[in-house]
Amino acid sequence: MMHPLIQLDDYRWEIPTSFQAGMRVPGIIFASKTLVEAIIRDKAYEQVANTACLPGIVKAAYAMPDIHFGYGFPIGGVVATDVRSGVVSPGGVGFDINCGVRLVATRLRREEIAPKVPALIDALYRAVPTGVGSEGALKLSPEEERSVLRRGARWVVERGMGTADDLAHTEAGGCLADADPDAVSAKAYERGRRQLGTVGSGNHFIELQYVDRIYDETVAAVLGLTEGLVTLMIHSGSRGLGHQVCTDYLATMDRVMARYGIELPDRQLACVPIASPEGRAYLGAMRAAANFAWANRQCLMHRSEETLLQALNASPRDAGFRLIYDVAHNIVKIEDHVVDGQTRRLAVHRKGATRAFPPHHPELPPDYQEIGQPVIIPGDMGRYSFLLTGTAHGMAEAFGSSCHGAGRMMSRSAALKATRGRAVADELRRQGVTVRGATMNTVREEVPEAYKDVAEVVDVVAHAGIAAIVARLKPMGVIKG
Amino acid sequence: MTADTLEQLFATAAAGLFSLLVDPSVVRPAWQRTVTAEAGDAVGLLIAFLNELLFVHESEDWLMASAAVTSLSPTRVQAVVTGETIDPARHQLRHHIKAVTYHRARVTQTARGWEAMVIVDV
Repeated sequence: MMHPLIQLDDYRWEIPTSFQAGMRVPGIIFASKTLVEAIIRDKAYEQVANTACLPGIVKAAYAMPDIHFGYGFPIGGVVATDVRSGVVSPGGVGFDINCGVRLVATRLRREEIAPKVPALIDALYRAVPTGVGSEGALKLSPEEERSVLRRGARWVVERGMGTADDLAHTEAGGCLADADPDAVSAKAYERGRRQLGTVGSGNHFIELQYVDRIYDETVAAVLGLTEGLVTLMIHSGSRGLGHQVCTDYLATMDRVMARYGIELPDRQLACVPIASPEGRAYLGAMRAAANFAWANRQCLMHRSEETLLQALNASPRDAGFRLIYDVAHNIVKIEDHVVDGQTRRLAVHRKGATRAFPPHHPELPPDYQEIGQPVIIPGDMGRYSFLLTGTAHGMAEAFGSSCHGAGRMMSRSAALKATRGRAVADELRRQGVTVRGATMNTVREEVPEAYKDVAEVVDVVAHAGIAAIVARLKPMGVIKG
Repeated sequence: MTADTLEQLFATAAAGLFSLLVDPSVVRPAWQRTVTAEAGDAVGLLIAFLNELLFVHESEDWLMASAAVTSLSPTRVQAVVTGETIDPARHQLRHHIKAVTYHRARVTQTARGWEAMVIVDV
């Protein structure tokens, strides 16, 4: 098949600026020979080229090996723009602002809980709201919701649902400064009012897992992980509140973009200068939505822990819940990066890409200074997930970014078609994974074969040197939204 | 989506959106309300209109049974929509829709009437 990709080495492919008029920088895709075939097939590289047209983009438009076709921006893309001359784009973050993952370690062993997993998953399913229109454990007054938008996970911890240690092990401490609750519309407030502490639908989940393989003993020791140890993984975001913030600002930017002389190949790429009133307002609202998401995952973790303790009849000491890390994979952050020997302040858009800062980065907590930032990469619900850490090479090469998951191979409707007449939950049970979904469709849409093998994805990231593999986690039970 | 008039196109698009959420045959027109949206052009207006309906759906647990456009200008649409509150016993929701996107969206006049395409993020 004809395509513009030039192979740079075993794991990097370049889209030259000559591919498309308007490209300001080249595109760089991290992929193996096998994965690049899928990328060529679904033409996701065209979207990478489109993002390379954004005003003020620096160095290159990057794409991670789990890239797939998105709306405007590809899912799995990283775009950094100069804060003075560049633009900010809601589409570069996505509708689910601060969708992200947290990984919780326990002191429990796989053997002890294995027989109880079906009961534990039932208990989690009853206690934690999932699925479409799921109502939250927390209903917020307008004042409370404003505080959540300003204070993020801190607000939740201040109410006794967590510890200072949780905040230290959350990206940005679970709270972005300069969030602007006034830049969030009344509609977004309305959508968020009943959704704090809910998983949501689609690919969001809460999963009980165990560490089945350690790749780096030294780093695993610092994280306190050993083979057979039980972990809990939570994947969720800012729910309807974040979706509404994105919807609102896409409409605003679509309206005013021409005024700033910006023309783009796809309206979903709508953007404005970071320094413009609309740009500043979006960043303020986006941060507020990001804070809501961190508060949400903190609530979900607290509720899950409470539920598991009760179901296991265990004390907090026995269970030993400990947040390893919480990281966003749909966000734009203002960060300093060295580009051509100069430190520059950039707006790094990560849409379906995970921040992966190296050892000794000032944003990391003291206990992770030597090992780098934990990077949590969920896979599909049948196979495995991975824990990685950021590297100096990734910082220099891709603005400290890594992949975010397995990446879909089949659309939701294709997955439904492929699984017609199959009892996916029963198939998974035979493989030792208990699954509970809000609907039969959710489980079928999320069937493992709908996803790429996440091992292939993290393999590319590791070989390209932008993150290092620490451990593999196998699912025992999962609740899906 | 196709329709004879632009007004019908908006109504068809709204019905299409809700058919992704739930089986339309199980939604009753229990009560009606007015919905308005504004935007700079036809594509933007269609997206704004559908996003407005999604907002009502999510904030009020509401499902649409029918839509009729009562006024339409190049930048503003008003519609009367009927529907009911979600009843978990009767309504098995198919998806959660995050939003209607601008990605590849179009509204065009053809020899036979009107045609539109929008892509939703689920």
